[in-house]
Amino acid sequence: MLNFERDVVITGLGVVAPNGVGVPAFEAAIRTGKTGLTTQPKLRDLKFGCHVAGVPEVTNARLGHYLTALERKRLTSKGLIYGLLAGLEAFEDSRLSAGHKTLQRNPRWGCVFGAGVPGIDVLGPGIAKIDAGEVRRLGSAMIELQMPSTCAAYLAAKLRFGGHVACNSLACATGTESVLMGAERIATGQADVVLVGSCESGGEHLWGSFDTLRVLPRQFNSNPRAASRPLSSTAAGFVPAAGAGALVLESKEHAVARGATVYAEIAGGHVNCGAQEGDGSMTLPNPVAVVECIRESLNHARLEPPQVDAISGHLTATRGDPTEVECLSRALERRGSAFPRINSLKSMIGHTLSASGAIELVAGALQLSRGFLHPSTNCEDPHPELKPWLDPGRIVQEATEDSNLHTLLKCSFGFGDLNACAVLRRANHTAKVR
Amino acid sequence: MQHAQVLLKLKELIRPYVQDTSGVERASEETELIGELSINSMHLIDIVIDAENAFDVEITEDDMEGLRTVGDVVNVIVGKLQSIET
Repeated sequence: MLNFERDVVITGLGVVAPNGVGVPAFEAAIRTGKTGLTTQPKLRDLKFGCHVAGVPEVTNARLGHYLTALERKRLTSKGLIYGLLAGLEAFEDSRLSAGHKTLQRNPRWGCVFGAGVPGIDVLGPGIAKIDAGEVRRLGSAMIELQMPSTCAAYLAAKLRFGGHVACNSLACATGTESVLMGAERIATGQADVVLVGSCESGGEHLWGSFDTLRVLPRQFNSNPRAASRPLSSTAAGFVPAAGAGALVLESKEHAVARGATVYAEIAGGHVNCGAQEGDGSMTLPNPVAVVECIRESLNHARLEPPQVDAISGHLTATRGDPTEVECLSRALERRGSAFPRINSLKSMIGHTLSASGAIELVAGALQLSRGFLHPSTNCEDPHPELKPWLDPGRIVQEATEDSNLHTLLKCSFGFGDLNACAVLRRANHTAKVR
Repeated sequence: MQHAQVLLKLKELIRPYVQDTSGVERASEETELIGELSINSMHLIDIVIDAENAFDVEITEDDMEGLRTVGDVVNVIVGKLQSIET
């Protein structure tokens, strides 16, 4: 059970997503159900079954705003770049450095920035050089491109974090786990500020591992917008994607003391493992552990099941979707029209793998602070196995304004039977709200 | 290639690795790479690779021993080019 003694709030957001780079563009995109999925000619040429993917479009102007010329020259891994852009945007958004000409190293500031296989898009040429006997021509950046912790290290150096700087990795649960780990540091008094989030490079050398498992959709290569179909009866697998999400977490007292404005509170959460027992396996979660994770996250947040207003599901558009909904229904003891409203950001941006929890929590914080729910697209035909558990009307089909949105449950379930659930709560009336 | 031309081309290769690019403008052959231009010693490896690519020469570990100034690098490159020409 996580240990939360101090309140933790979100004071900054940053995102690099397939349908929007930077928070304003991302928010506009998710409000309108804008897809970030496109057909990738390279995947077709390499004889993948799935030719659709979600790849963020990063402008040179954005790169130039956040990174030096030398960083842009050396740090060629896309995941690393996405993570840096998201992290630096979140920090800028928090205004923690406002009024400071230069930052000084602060031992009370830290970072938990996760990654999956961030260097995978650039390691091939380096490996080839070594195999050809050209190790002396690798260049100084090679080790930085190999280490998953490089993004966290660069963020810490640029933002002068002097406390615990960490890189976590929990497959598709990485981003959500990073948020809970960072929140726990603050809640237990070990830090005042923790930048959290995660990144993923994407690319054919990572996505091939999923294509070979036949878990990616093959039927939508000429219609990428329709390809990612969480909760749908015609869901045919997850669409791979890349990107990064970042959040600045702060103790509430630290935020209030400096007059910060907050997006939302981290009310609580839980991380557990299904141990691949029962119906659990490397690729599908043990439902017993999923139900336990959801219940424990609510206990930790001191929330009763009827108080959950909305769910941001893991919901990847695989055969795990109906089971996930069943687990939610059992854990919350809510069925039919009483089931909370539910959406899946993956319907628009695909599955950003290790970045997914982080990007989806950025969306969660935006929805809570602004009072809206984004649509879960491509769900005109709800899966019949959902029927015992939820009324299809509970699936958010259109963007919905809701000023009474107070709590949001974020679920992430990673390969390896690894689960992480976070509970966000709208900032209370004593905090200045964005 | 003339000494002066190599110097000019080398300065362009060094430029991305220097924080204060005006230092590169002012640099002469006596300018120290680490001491005066504040180039990270790790990036000397990159400058050597960039120079190998730009001048189509091979700079060995022995050549890299004692590379302290801009002129040291110029001399190595000029030497390599001359031995190719002969």
